[in-house]
Amino acid sequence: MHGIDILIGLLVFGYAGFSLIRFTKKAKKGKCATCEVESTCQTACDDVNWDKVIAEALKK
Amino acid sequence: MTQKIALLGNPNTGKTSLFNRLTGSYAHVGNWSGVTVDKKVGKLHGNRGQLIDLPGVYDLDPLSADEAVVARFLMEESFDGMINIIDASQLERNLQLTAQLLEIGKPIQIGLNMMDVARTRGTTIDAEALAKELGVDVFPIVARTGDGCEVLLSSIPEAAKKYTPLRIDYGQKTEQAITAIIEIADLQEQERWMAVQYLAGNRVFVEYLEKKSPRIIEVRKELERQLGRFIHAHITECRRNWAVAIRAGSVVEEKSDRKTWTDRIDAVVTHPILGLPIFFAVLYVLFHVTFNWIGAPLSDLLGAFIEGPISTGVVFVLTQLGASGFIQDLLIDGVIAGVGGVLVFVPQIFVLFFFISFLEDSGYMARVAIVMDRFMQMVGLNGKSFIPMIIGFGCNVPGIMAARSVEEERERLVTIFISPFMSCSARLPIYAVFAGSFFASNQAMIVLSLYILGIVLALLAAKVFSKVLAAEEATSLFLVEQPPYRVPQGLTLWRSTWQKGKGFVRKAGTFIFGGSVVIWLLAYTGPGGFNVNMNDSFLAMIGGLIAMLLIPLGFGTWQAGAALITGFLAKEVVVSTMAIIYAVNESELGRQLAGQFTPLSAYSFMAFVLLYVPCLATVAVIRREVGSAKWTWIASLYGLFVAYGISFLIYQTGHALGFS
Repeated sequence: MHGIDILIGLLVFGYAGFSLIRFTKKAKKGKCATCEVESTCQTACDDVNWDKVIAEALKK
Repeated sequence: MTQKIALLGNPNTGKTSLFNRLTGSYAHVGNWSGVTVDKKVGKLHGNRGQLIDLPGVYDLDPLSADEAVVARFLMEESFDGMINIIDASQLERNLQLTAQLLEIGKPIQIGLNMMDVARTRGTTIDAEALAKELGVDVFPIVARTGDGCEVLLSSIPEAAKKYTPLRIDYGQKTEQAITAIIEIADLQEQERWMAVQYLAGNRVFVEYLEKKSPRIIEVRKELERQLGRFIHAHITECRRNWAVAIRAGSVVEEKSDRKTWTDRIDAVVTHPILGLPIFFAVLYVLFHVTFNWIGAPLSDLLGAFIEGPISTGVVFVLTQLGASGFIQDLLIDGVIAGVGGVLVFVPQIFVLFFFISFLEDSGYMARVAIVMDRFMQMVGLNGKSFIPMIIGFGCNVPGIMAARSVEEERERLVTIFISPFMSCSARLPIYAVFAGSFFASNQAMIVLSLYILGIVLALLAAKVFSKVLAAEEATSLFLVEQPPYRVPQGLTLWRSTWQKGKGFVRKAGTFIFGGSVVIWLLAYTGPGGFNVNMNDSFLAMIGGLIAMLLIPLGFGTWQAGAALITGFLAKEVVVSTMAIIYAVNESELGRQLAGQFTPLSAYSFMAFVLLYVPCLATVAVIRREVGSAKWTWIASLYGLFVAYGISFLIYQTGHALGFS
């Protein structure tokens, strides 16, 4: 096993692991992951308490 | 402290266009109502503070979950000023909301948008006279092109001055009740608007104030008795009278009987009989252009580039560096096959998104909701639910969020449940591979048939869910504003296309990359160690778990099983997995598949992929929007049974009829 194998292997597997974990976390959040203004947005993702809003709508 | 400015107005008046102009954002803009269902905060150019884009409302009293955001924002959050966008062509109706905003008494500026549309309808508005009548600054703007937006922006700092709240005279009895409520609920004088909102029946304020001081209920009941009618009807009438007076003082009307272009086009595209065939024809053209004319040739070019120079280049570099066979396989058969297999479809995805954006911005998509209203009524929904479904054609996640604009809760839930049947863009690469390999000359027709299959099954599922969820047989009315047709602007179109397509490219570089590496590793290793025969790999074992079940559907191989299992994470991964399994590039993939699938089983497979389960992100958003674990499970899994049933029917019936 050469040094180059270890280097490329670490890079590829490291990046793969990192992007998988990040995507899964983001996908679970659902909302912000797909938001269009993500780059300039200053809202915290949980700024609107949707559980509350939806619970209210359900009551109605 | 940075100041916070709220952006308010009726639906589809151009708030988000203005928001993008003033903050340099690229939020989704569509020529229909209900594009914004959440609030969005952006930084104003020149450090002038924050601009908050709120969903469009006709009234502060919320009818749906997205509208509740507005009332809640005004009541609970501190802000320094408001920009109210008014559609000049619908002045009187827009002013009803303006009246309520003026009553709040915060600094407010009016952006008068769509003056050009008003003019074609024979109405000219004197902005100066309107400003005088309202007592606030009015700026004529064209939000789409940005005309006048600079002036509006530069006048924001002046908004710090004090404004006196508007006082509409609601008549002696109501005024007495307002005073009583202010006193009992211990409100400040400048919070008179809250008392008015309470009397008008605004749900958010009713809940808040009655909790604070239950005694005000008596005041409301007494007033209703005195008026002899619903208070909200009385208050709305007073506001309307106010709006009529304002309009009279600022509008020069030119009577015009001529039909506008919008009327003429509508007569055809929303025709009760022609409407639906026209919609399908539009979709057909869209797919034909995407798959046959522009998209496919571009995809082929990109495919050739990835297979040729890129692959050869990587092999050359790796050999020069002395990398081992393992690393070479990892990069060529794993990363390049998996990521490249999805990336080649970028041109097709962009062409499709370009045309969808075109239809959205032109105003046609809003008409589709009208055309579909009749069919939606049959299944207990109405046309409004079709708008989230159309958005779902891009990606199911925003589609499901857009269901917030559906007023009736049962209908909102049903809309969410059926949205995953809308064929999102992530399924497109799968269609492209299979339709391209097995139905080369009829690609557009095959893809169209899958989209229609999705819509039809969504309608049937809606019927079932409506029956299960309905407490009583009550369908809500469908009222949607029909925006005027317009020729979409190049820049808006490009942004809209880029916004939709960007996610696809990003996903290829991140998640698909990671997924490809894992899938390749699973295919490379097995109980026997490394570099095993792929049929003995872990991936083959995983896929083999369900392969037996898939035999009656025509694709009972471990390869199909593995692709379907990994596809739950994101639908594009189905194609990546297949590219890795067959260790070939995209053009070669078709030939390899021909050995395992027949046209019939390929169609059955495409139908299965369309319906079987929503992807992980969609499941997460369903969980959030539905708020119940039980319903999330149901919404995520019923598709599996539907998919199995439909694919079974397609394959077995086709087989019995002699197709192969």
